[in-house]
Amino acid sequence: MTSAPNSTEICVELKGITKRFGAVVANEDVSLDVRSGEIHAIVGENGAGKSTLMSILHGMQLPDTGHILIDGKERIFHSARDAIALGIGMVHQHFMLAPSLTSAENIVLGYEPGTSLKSNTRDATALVRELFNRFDLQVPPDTPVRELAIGAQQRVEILKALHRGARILILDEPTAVLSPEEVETLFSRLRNLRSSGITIIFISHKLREVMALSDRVTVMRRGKTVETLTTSQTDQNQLADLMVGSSVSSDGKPRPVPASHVRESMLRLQSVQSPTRPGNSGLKDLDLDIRRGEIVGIAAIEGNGQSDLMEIAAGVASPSAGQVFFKGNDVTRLHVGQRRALGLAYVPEDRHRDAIALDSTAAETFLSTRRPKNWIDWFRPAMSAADKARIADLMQDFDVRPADPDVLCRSMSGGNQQKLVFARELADNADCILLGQPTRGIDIGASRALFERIWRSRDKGAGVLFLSADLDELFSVADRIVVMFDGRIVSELDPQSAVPRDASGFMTGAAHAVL
Amino acid sequence: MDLIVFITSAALAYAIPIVYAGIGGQISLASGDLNIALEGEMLFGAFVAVAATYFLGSPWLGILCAVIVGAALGLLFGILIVSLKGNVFLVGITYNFLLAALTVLLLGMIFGVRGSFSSPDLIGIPKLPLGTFGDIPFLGSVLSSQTYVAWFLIPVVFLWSYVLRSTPLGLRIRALGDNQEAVRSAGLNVDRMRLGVQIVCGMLCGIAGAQLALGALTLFSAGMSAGRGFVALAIVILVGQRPWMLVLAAFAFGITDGIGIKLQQADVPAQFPQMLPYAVTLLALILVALRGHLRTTRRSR
Repeated sequence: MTSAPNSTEICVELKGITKRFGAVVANEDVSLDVRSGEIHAIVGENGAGKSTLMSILHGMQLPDTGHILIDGKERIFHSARDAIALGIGMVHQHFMLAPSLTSAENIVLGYEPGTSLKSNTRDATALVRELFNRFDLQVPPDTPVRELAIGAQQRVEILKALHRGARILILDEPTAVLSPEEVETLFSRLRNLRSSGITIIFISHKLREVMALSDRVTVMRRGKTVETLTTSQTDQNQLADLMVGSSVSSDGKPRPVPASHVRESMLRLQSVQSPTRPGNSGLKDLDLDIRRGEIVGIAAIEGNGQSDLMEIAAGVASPSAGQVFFKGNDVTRLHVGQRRALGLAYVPEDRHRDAIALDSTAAETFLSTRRPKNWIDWFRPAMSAADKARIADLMQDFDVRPADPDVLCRSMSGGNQQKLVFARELADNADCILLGQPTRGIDIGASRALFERIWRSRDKGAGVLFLSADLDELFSVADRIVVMFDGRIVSELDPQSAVPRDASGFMTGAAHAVL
Repeated sequence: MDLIVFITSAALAYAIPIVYAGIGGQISLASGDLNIALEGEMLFGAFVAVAATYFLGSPWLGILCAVIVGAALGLLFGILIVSLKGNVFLVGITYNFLLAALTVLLLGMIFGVRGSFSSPDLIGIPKLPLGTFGDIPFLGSVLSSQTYVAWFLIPVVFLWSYVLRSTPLGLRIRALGDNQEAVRSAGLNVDRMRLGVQIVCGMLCGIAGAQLALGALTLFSAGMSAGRGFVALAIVILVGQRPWMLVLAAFAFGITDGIGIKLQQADVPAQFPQMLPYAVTLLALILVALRGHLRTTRRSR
């Protein structure tokens, strides 16, 4: 359990903040107070206005009305630099790092030691090492950040804020990209930072993490702050109710038992291999059979071949050896478009890289996976009025906000982009559904709705491959869990009898099971 | 041995403007807004240097004017791409055509000549006296015919190399080209940095032009940059952010140019040697592209 903050002095106070984007009200009369030296969580569903509020606090946006008080003094931030000068640092969900520069260079960027021409950036390395020791956060200083694991990149972001003299650290969905072990490490480091007097504002929608880490929690719903509670005096169910505004607990209904027990194979990978690369084990002679009417969950720490597995199953990448069978036919040589035509749906892990084009509209994104069936199709308009109407209906159905087919993907929030991808992939009742980290960045309501659909598809006979970094989620959704380590399947667990803790040992390679 | 002296001299004459413009190109490349108007800015710099030297009577003032006009051209380029959000390639193409045409127009308006302008009153950039070093066999005659601007290139390359690798300024420029958002979130003024980069690039192209028109020769002729700006651009794309590789590559191109001139004097059709530097550029680009292609195919599974 977390200890109570040793001070009740308020270091950040927001009063009556309202921010509109056109007709959309992102924040309405929001008030928030954060005490010095506490870990203050802000929870809310996608689009509840958490990120907007934090970008106001970090000087990236100006509020339309309202006041920001830092240490009791009213302040107006015209740029991030103003906020930084007052000791407010931000760790963005999408890291603001220059990928080909080293960790040390990224950390000191903009706040280098010395003046712009007189000093040598090699001094930076020494300075950064001092920072490592002071806050007990380690990263290799001379490695380009693109070669670092996600967790290390995040540490670079945190160190960057600390180097700039942050006393108040805002972390926007910091655990969304981390494996369970990395989350644990992050939390212990955040607690250390709190002990050294840093105030932490932690944005999340994972209630378990909020309960584990925070001292106090503020719930936001539809642009407003609903309530601020002391974490030790509340529980997940109460928070979930406040977040969604009705009585829906996060644990919700138990997982329905599969309706059918047909053992027919849907997607089978046979002796599949892929090359080992830095930070990625590749696949080493992996066999996996996903049968009709089952959800197979994959538990693995990043870099143990699970991404290769998804991509090879989808036909985005080809295996260096081995075969892939779909409904009994060898599809190893077929690409993803051809496999889709046979009834495969694919939600890629990296939404921005593989699932949507940010500068296209929702409708274009929707139709981007459709392939011409015959030569006439090549000459038809890509989008008919009927297509558009259907897309609008589906967007409504999947609760994509705004449900407007002409809206640009770039202007949608991450959670809504993901829901758009779900709508596209699940609309056609595919026989086999591949889900790569589908709930990354989406809220409980949307995850719940997704799982309901997945269970329905499964009960109609679809085979589902489900990759998630969240073990609780895997165990509550999947019918069978395979644990991968170092490119191999090291264990298979039944979520009815096993618990998430059982999987962690196998995921780190600490335990070995004989299969 | 005369041949080596000849080719080395020709190579230096060819390479030095390319390195100046190329450093401008490297700065712009590092900052993420590769300026493809090196050719146009260099040519215009050559014209300004000649005109100013002719009217003001001093090549030093000629160089100064070329640098100032280069800075102004760079500032305008920056405003077009940063403030007015113009596409960096379209603005670059426009600059190349516009500035080339403008020199022809001004040549007619100011000097009343077509094609080229030369005058006994036009003083070239003085050559650095080497004293006894000029007596070194072969090398001496090459080195003693180099201008102050040519020698000045050495500290410039050292300085640029140091700034880019080892100073906060260089770090910020590299970060700018890598991820603008990272620079913005550090609270730095991205727009002002991009403008500054284009101004410096323009100034370097101005010096390149001055050396071109008042270095080995003292004249201005329409289109006298003859693709050097594009060769510089190609080299920058090939070598990326490595200043000394730029020098090396420019000298290598210079040597092919020197060989070309010699071949022209022999019994080879004139078009063949003229083609040489561009053929080499093309070949080098193909090789680099192939290497990059091999690397990516090996990486993708």
